[in-house]
Parts: sequence; structure tokens; C-alpha cells
Amino acid sequence: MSKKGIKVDRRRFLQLMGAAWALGGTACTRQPLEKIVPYAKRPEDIVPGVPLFFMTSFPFGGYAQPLMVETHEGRPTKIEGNPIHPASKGATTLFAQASILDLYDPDRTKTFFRNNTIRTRKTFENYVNGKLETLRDGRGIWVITPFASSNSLKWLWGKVLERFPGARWVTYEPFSRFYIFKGLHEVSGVWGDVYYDLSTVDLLVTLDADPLAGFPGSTSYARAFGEKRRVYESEKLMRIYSVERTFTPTGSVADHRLSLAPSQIINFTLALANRLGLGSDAQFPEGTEKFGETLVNDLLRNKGRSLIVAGEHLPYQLHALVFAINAFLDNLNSTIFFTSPILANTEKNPFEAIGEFSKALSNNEVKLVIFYDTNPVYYSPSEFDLFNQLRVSKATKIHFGLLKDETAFACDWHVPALHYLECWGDHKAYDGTLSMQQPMIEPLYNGFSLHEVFGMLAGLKGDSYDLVKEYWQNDYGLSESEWKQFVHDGFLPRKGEDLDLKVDIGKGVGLAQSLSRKESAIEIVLAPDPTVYDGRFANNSWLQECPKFATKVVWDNPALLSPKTARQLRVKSGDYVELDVDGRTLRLPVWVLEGHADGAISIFAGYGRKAGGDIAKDKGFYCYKFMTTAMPYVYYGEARKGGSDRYELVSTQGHHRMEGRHIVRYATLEEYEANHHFARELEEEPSEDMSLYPPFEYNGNAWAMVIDLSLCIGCNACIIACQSENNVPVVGKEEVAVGREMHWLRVDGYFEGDKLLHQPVPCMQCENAPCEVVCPVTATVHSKEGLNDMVYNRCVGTRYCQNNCPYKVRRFNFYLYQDWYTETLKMLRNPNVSVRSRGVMEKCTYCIQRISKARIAASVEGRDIQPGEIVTACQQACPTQAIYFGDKNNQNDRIYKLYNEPLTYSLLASLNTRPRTRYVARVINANSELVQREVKKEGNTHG
Amino acid sequence: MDRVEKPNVAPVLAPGHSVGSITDKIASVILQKTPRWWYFGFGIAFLLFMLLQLALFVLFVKGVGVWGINIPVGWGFAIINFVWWIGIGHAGTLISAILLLLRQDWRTSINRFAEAMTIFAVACAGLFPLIHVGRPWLAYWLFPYPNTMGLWPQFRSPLMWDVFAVSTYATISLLFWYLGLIPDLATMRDRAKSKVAKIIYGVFAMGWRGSVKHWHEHEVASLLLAGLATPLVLSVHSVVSFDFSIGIIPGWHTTIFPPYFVAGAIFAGFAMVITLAVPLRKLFGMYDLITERHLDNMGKIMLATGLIVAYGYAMEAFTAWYSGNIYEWFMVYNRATGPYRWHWYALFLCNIAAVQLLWIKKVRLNPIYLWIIAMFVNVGMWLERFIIVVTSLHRDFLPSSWGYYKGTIWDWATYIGSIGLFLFLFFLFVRFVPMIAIFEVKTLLPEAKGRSGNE
Repeated sequence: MSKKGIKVDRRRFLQLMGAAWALGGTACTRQPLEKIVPYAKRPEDIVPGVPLFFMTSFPFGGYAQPLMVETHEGRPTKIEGNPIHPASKGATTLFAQASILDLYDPDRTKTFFRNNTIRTRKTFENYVNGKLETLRDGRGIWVITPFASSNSLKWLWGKVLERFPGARWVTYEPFSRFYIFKGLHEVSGVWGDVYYDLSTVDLLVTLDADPLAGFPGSTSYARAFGEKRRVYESEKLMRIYSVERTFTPTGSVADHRLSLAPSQIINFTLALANRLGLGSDAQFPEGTEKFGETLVNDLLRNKGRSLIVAGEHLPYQLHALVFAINAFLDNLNSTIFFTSPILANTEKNPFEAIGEFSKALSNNEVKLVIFYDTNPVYYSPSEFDLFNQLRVSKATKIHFGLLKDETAFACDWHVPALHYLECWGDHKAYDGTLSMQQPMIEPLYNGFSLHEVFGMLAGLKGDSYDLVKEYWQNDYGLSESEWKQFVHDGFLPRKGEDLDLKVDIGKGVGLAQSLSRKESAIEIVLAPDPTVYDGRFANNSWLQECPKFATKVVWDNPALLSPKTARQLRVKSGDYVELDVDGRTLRLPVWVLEGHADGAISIFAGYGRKAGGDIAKDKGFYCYKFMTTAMPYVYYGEARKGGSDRYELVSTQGHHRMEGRHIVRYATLEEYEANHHFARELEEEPSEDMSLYPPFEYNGNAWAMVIDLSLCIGCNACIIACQSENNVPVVGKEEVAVGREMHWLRVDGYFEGDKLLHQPVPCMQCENAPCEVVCPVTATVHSKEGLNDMVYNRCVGTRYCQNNCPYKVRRFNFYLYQDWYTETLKMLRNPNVSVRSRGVMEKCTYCIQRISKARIAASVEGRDIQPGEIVTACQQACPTQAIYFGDKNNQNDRIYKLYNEPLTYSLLASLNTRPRTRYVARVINANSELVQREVKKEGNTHG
Repeated sequence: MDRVEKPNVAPVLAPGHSVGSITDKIASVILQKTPRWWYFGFGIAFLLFMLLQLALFVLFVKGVGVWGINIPVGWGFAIINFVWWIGIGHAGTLISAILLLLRQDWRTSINRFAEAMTIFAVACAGLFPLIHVGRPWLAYWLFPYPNTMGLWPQFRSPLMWDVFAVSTYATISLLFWYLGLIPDLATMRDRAKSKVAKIIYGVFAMGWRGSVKHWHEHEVASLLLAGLATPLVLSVHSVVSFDFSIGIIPGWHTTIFPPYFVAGAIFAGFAMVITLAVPLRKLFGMYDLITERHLDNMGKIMLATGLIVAYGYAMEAFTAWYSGNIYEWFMVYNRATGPYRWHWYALFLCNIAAVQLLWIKKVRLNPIYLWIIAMFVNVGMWLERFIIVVTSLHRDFLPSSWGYYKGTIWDWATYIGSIGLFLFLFFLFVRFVPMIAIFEVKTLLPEAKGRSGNE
């Protein structure tokens, strides 16, 4: 140091530097004020670490999906089905499972906006009340909501009408059951709703319909289907015929399946009516005669025990015909039931309703419009240009929504709506069962529930709890204890009122015959997307990354067509096709799907969003372009190859053939009866001593899983349930493209003959696990109960275990896939499951946290774990109950019998891995008259 | 034993050399002014080495996701490169240990740089298992050390065996190399002009004075280390092959792997020795010391091991067919017709077809041809490991999980970067260390033979 400079000795230097360093560290941060409050007064029933379960229901398409929600310290973490509700019996759909992610969506609108400027709730309320003052008779008030079945909401609307007699309430969603209602009205003169009882059905016929996964009562129907398809238990097996355009979950488990374009489906149904003797002169389409004749005979043999279901998108005339055929077959009130209307505005065509609104907008008759949790700008029929109409309209436009979607951009006000887990309400299930919606958490953001919006319009004070309770106690007449029971159980044990209808068979046939069947090059059908539905779940990354039914495509909505149609159009998967309907064109990539009807193309809604969250935006293709009031779902048009460029479609499964390997084993019922052991005989399992290492002993519990392949419909509810339960991250399209999806449970699909065979694949928990011996750091170890435990903390990530897993069920965190920083997502996570970090292997654990919970409970109570006490997340969600879990050492456990059932086999048994997960081979209840079609191809195997 | 030299085969040491001229020749490489091409080559190697550092930086910051690996192909370039480098690392020890024990005197002029090559290749190889893990900061958990967790590594895992095999091999190779260097370092100490060089060489020469006792103990130690290293030549690559053959995957689960891998390693190692020897011979004018005889012998070894490797390929396919196992047979079918079929065909071209030219003596004696064939083998052996690692994994038992693997830019950067590291070290080696064992070459002189009475 220079001698001329300031003289600083060593001590002084260190003092100064130390002080500077300390100052530098504190300069710009002010410690936030935190109070430490002792948990002196514990809230009732809340024990930290012990979850509470509450019943509620999830409104979907207006119908209640009854739920039981797991909450940890006041935050909901996992959706489960309400086990005591008749519409659920514990099962859920994938939408219900994933809806919890919407609650914690970081993109949610958090405050009140007027023209993009933040406002207070008070300002908003004053503004609306001031506006309402000027609209005395209520003319010009429009309220647009999704479909609703809520009694209390209908009652509140009555109150609104008392104050504003001219107000209009439009319930609108792009995919409705209106054609069913209209068909029923045509043949019976009554507006009502329809539901089925599959437990009485021996013969199910679906016409481009998906009752097991796509109907409001699907969880209940699927449960009944499961009960009637267990060859080792069921007294009589249900038989299913499916005539459909593309594979649906129901069609994929059908015993006989025919793929036909929609117009041919109409012809087929007419011919069916003809052959049953209902009049009409139609003949079965070419090539379907044998199938049709066999079906006719089968139907006549099963009068009163059969059921014909037609898809919601088919014209109402066809539904009228289907009601007529069902009536002719004595199925009314035996397998098919009617109830008074469940949805508000059942008798109103939603497209016409939105059309009236559009017209009122053009005529400047709209003074105040309220959109609640609905997005008509995005999904209304293409003849209405709602966005521009709204933009130029002088009306006050208020949008309540979880997300700032397309409609929000056309409105003045954008106000947070409440998620269904945040507010009170009530809905009706598919059969009219009154179901409760109770909140699981205080609203995360200051918003309005739909009841509160109606309350505000009606000038009523109180929040959603007051309004809902007031209806049920004062108007409906529940006593306090009945109300409490209602909230506790989630439903009222009284059924809705069933209708006893007369169906005019002749009218049904006549209407269908009058159907104009346009000849066209190609028939295009718009359907809701299998995972993001009509677009409402487009910002839900779990659903975006959930492999779509049959194609396993993620994050996109390709058009589906058959291999033959693809050859005609000279396209391959990933090529573009240009669709042309009356001059409107749509260019989108195609996915060639075996089993799709020739001459038809399926397109899926829900994509091509321009707003509505970071995840939703700019994904896939906008397919509502063809939708019109007159032709909402089925279009007759033309298709051609759309250019030479290609689009990258990403699928989680690249190969859909079994290559002669005995992976999914199946046989017809006759073959099964001739040889119960057929599945095990296909592959030789080496003897147990064929290992260098001594066998493990399992003296206590020995957990095992059995999956019945006859019952899996490929609905994906288990995948989302697993994702939710086990904090499984989402990786995005680019990562899935290179093969890095993280789902612990996958549902494989194989096309074989005319079949689509589903196979859910969780970890096999092998007794001779190839993964365990190769891990150099003991990160995957064998438990004394027979599980392959994964020790995340010990894993260094050599990935040897994953290479050596013949089932490829292990998943690796190639990057830091988990979002460790977003606050709301922290609340979502299951606190009993580690959130994995980068560089760590993970896989299915058989929900070990649930096993531990049961073990602790049993230990505290000094007893053994009871059969059925542990239910894995996938098992719980499964609507058909295809998954069983239990202790294979316990002879009282159901799994004991199933595990040793001759039909039960181990996957890749010849490798001597001794999997704990076994499969029940699929048994096809084929009609012997048609069985030649079902000849099984012999694999070129040598064992 | 009397060797009858055929007139058309060159001797292992060109005639006319004396004890002094050999020392002059080899030491002058170091003592002379640094040639310009050295700076050029070293510069490129250094840049490539920097590329490796960049690739590792990106890898450590972001995670192994920057590579192309996925489910089902959990191992990619990292493991391919590991096996490739460790294979290359086999020639040095083979030459210095096995050929020493077999008294193959021609080895003396190539063993030094072959050993150096071994050590640098093992260094490159050793890098990959450490960086390829998902959490490299915990890679030390693979080593058995007493710890508060009370946990040992899992000794049934072949990766664990690898740790021992590779670390033992690295240690023995390094000791062997260094031991052999001591007399030459002492020579350099005595010859060096600058003071600094004298000190440095002096320190590393460990006080070597060339006394009879020194020579005697040096000889004994060399033989002992050679005895230790000999089984390692066979065991290291056998253990590396266990990484695959212990696995259950078709294409991995094969008993033929240990001998096939060892033969492949020697094959690859000699290819790399030729790759380095041919340019060194030219650049330093070492025609007297690395004669046609060396080229001829190395060519023959490549041909022999290449044929063993070809036999391995044939047996792998034959056994797959003969076993009747559909998964094994599909594996072979998929290699021939699947998305990686061009890799497979290229492998045959490089490792089998190209090598057959070595039957021709003219080719063996022509450094250019030999070098080109060696380059083919270098590529071919990399492809072989690619085929084993990737094509076996990408389509295994369940077709639903089949996938595809492609190296990313960072895979390539790491691979090329590791070649950079190798060359970087090698350039330093040829500049500062006698690249040919001076004292051993002297034993080839007629006067040495006369005195030693060995032969």
C-alpha cells in the first residue's frame, strides 16, 4: 500500500470493511413484521397433520359431480368422489380430479378491474347498484351463465325477476344435452331429463355415444358397468355393441364395434328400427348387415333389459327415434328413466338463447350484461360476432371469471369469480339427487359467487352461505338438523321426481325418416376435447398434459381420421388438412387413428385460445369456426391436404402395436370358459428359486394390486388422481416430445384387430426387482411388505434403475420440473408426499403415504390393518373399479382371491420379476354369431 | 531365442544409433524451441477443452435435461463416451504390461506415449460417470467411505464395481507410467538448460542417480506393477461390460460381453495409438524409433482383435436367434431395420469391413492408410457403444414405452470437449515429457542385447 495514502492500520481496515459489509447487507431490506402466535386455542377438529374430509360437489355441465375433498389445515389438496352419494360412490371423472388445480391457478384474476384499471370491491358494488337503479323494469338486463341445476339459484332468479321482471337469464355452454331433451319432448310432449340404470342392462347399444365417460351420470354408469363385467363374479355379463365414429371409452370396451360416419349411424339406426318392425324402409349400410341382424336378434332376446344410447351431438330426430326404439323394447322405466328437468332452461336451445342475446346487442336493447364463469366470445356459434358486438355496445358489460378470458377482454369490468371450492351452492346430480356444494377454503381472492351475483341483482343481503341456507331452510323447508345432515353427507337422500312418460313410437320413426342426410365428401364432427373439454380447462396443465384418449396426444387437438381416409387425402399424422364447410375453412394437423370411421373427421374444441391464462393461450387450433346454430356439431363438407408443411404433434405413446407379445391378454367368453387358465398359459413364469439372491420373506402385510383389463375404459381419471395425490409435476410439450413425461401411472393403449386394449401401468413393485440390484447408492430398496421403496434423498440420479426396469415405469427429474416458488401451488401439494428435486428418480409407490396412514391408525388402535382400509388414489378415482389394492397375505382380503384367480397374470412373467401388480385378462362377451370377426391373431412368439 | 528377421520387415530400431544418439534424439524434442505447429495444435485443443468447461457449466446449472436422454433411453452420450474412452485406455497398459511380460521388445518405443494416452483417456472416461448423474454434487456417494448416515454403497450394483475397477486401473496406470518415467526425468534433469526446468525435472526424478541398485529396484518394481496391471487389462473392461450384461434389457443381457468388450477395448486402444503415433512419427521425425515394424505389428493386433469383435457381433445375433427369445430376436431385427439401422451399417463398415484391408501388408506398412483405418475404428468403436446403449434401450419389452434418442448440442459439446481435454493433456505431454522411453529404447541397441543376455 502506498505510504503517501491514508494511513490505515490492519485493525482499522478490518473494522471498516466489516462495518461496510454489514451495512451493505442491511441497506435495502426491511424485515417484514412477523408475529408468532402460539396455537393456544386450537380450532375445533383441526389437528395439524391430520387431514379432514368434507363433502361437496363439482358442477360440470350443470350437473353435480359429488365429491369428498381432503383438506390439510384448511386447504383442499385432493379431490375424491363422495363414497356415499349414489352418483359417485367414490369415483370421479378426470375433470373433477383436475379441478383443484384451477383453484390454485396462479393466473387467476386477483382483483377488480375496470378497463384494465384496478378498482375496489366497494367501487364495483356502488357502480352496479347505481346502474341497477336506472333499470327499473329490468329490461335490458342479461345474465349469462353456464348450465345450472341449482334449486337455490333458480329460487334466487325468481327473486331477481320480482325486482326486475324484464331480466333475462341465459344458460349457455357449447356442448349441451339439448337435442336429447328436444327429442324426448318431440315423442312425449314433455320437457324432462333422461338417465339410465345400467345395473339392469344386459345389452347396451351405443350410437356414437359414450355413457361410461362422457355423460353427466358416467361415474355411476361406469360403476354399474363394472359390476356387470367381472367374469369371475358377475352373474350375467353385460354385452355392449358400439356403433361410433371414433373410439370412445365405451366403444373401446364394447364386445362388438362398428365404426361409421354420422350419416351412416343415422341410416343404421333407421334400419335397426325397420328390422325391429317399427316401420321405416331403411336398410343397413353396406357391410354392416351381419352386425345389424345379429344386434336385432340380440335386442329382441333382451327386451326390457337392453338400452340404446345415442350421442348428444346427434340430431334430435335421431334421439326421438332412439326413445321410440327403447320404448318398443320395453326399456322405459326399466333401464331408462325420466325426471323433471334438472337444468334451468331445459326447454331452450342454448344456441338460440345466445342468438337472442346477440340480436338484442345489435338492437341496442342490452343495458347491462353479466357473464359469470362463461366465455361465449370464445365458444358461441360462428354466425355471432360477439366480441365486436360487445365492444361497440354501450351496455355495461361485467365479466366474472376465474381467468381473464376472451369474453373478459370484450367487457368493461372484469371481476374475480369464486371457484366452486370457495363458495356455497347446490346442484342436482344426473338423476336429480340434490347435492350440496360447500366451500373448502376462504376465497383466495376477493370475488363473487354466482349466488352472490344473483343476490346483488335481487337486492338481497348476505353471502353465498346465507342465500343458500335461506333457500333450503325457508323455501325448501329443511330443519336445522336436516340441513346439517345435507351439508355433512353432501346430498339429500330423497330422489327427484321421476316422470312416467308415454312415448309416441310412430312419431319418433317419422321424425328420423325426415332427417335430411346430405351427401358430402367428408363428415366432420366437433366434439369436446377429451381433456380440456370446451376450453374451460385450457389453463389446467394437468389436463393439458393428460394423454388424450386413444391418441395419447398432449397439449394439442389434432383432427382424427381413419387410415383409409388419410390415404385418400394423402396425409400422415402431423400433416395439415384443410377442411371446408360451406366456404368456411379450417386448417389443422391430423392424427391417423385406427378404428375411426372412414369418410369422417373428428375435430376437437377447447384449443386456439387467445386469452385465459399463460397455459391456455396460443395452444392448438380453434375449431368452433364451423359451429352454427343450425349445425352445431356435425358438418358436411370437404377435406384436402393442407400444404406440405408439418406440425409437431406430441404423444406419450409412440407405438400402438403389441408386436406379437402377450402384453394385454384377452379371449372371448367362450374361450375363457373352455380354458380358465388361458392367460397364464401364454407365458411361462420361471420357478421361484431362479434367482441368485435369497428370496424375501413377507410375514406381515404383502401389498399387491390387481387391475382388471376388462373394466378399464381408458378414462384417465386415475392418471390425474395420481398426479394430484403424489405431487407429480407437469413438464410441458417440449419435454414430452423428447420422452420425459412424469406420470407415475400411464394407461397404455394397443390396437389389435378392431380393438383398442387399455392397460394401466403403475409400478409393478416386483419381488425380484431389476431396479433394486443396479442402484449403486441403495436409493431404491425392498420393503418388508414387498414394495420397491424409492428414497429420494439418497438418489444421485444414475438412471440405471430406469434403464433396467422392463416396464419403464420410472420417471426422472431431468430438470427442476417442480415449481418451488409459486405460492398458490405450494398450497396445492400433498404434505405427505415429498416434492422431488432435480436429478432424482421417482415412481409409483402404491401411495405409500396412505399405507403409512393406515398403519399408524391401526397401530394406535392396536389392531391389524383391515381389508379395504387402504385405497390408492388411482383405485379410488376409478369409476369402473378396475383397480384393486390390498394385502395378498390376508385371505379375507378381496385381493387374495383376485390375485390367485386363474384369469390373473403377471406382465412379462418370463423375466422372473415376480410383479406385485397383476392383471386380470380381458374377457370379451362376444356374440357367437359374430365371433368370426373376432378371430385372434396368433403372435409369432416362442415364449 | 534367435530371431530370424525377414529382410522385408524393418527392424524395431533403425541401424546406426548409439546410446548417445537415442538420448539426443528424444530429449531434443523437449529441449528444442517449441515448434510452431505445437502452438497451433495446442491452441485448438485448449479451445475444445474450454468447450468442455462450458458444456459442464451448462450441465451443472440446468441439469442433465440439456442432454438428449429420456425415458426409455436413460443413458446416452455420457455412458457411450465413458466406455469409448475407457476402451481407448486399454492399449497403454496392454503394451507396457502384457507385452513387457511377453518380452515383446518392439513395445519399448511406443509404450511411453501409449501409457500417457491411457492415463489421459482414463481421465476423460472417469469424468463421465461423475457428471452424468442427476445430482453430480452427490456423486461421491458412490465411493465407500465411512459416514454419519451409516450407509455403504450398494455392492450388488455394477456401477459400484465400476468405481473400483476404474479407480484401481487409473491408479496402477499412473504409477506404472510414472515409474517408467523416473530414469528419463533424471536424464532431462541432467540435460535441461534452464534452472527452473532442472529443479522441476529434478523433483520428479526423485533423486535418481542411475546406480545399479536403482536400476535393480526399478526393474523389480516395473515387473511387479506389470504383474498387477496385466489382470486389470482384462478385468476393467469386463467390469465395464457388466454395467450392461447384468441388466435385464435385450441387447445388454449377454454373457458374451466381457471377452467381447476386452477385445473391443484393445482394438480401440491400438487404433488410438496408431492415430497418435503416425502424426508424432512424422512431426518429430521419429522414423528411426517408430519403424515400419511397429506399424506392422500394431496393424496385426488391430486385425486380430477386430476379428474377435466381429465374432462377437455374429454370436450376439446368432444367440438371439438360437435362443428363440422374441425380445432378443426383436433387438437384432430392430438394429438392422429400426431407426438406428444406419448406425449399425456404419458400424460394420468401420469395425469389420475397413479392418479387413489390414490383411494386406502394404496397407499395414503405409502410415496414411493405417491412420485412416484407425480413424474408422475410432468411429466404429464409438458407434458400437452407441448401438449397445441406445438401440437396446430405445425399444425394449413394452412397445408402449418405445422411444427415440438423439444427442443434443450439449451432448456433442461434451463429447468433443472431452477429446479437447485429451488432446490438451497430450500436447503438454509431448512438449514436456520424453514421449519415448529413452532408457528402454537403448535396450534395443545391439550392445545392450549383448550384455543383458536376456535373449
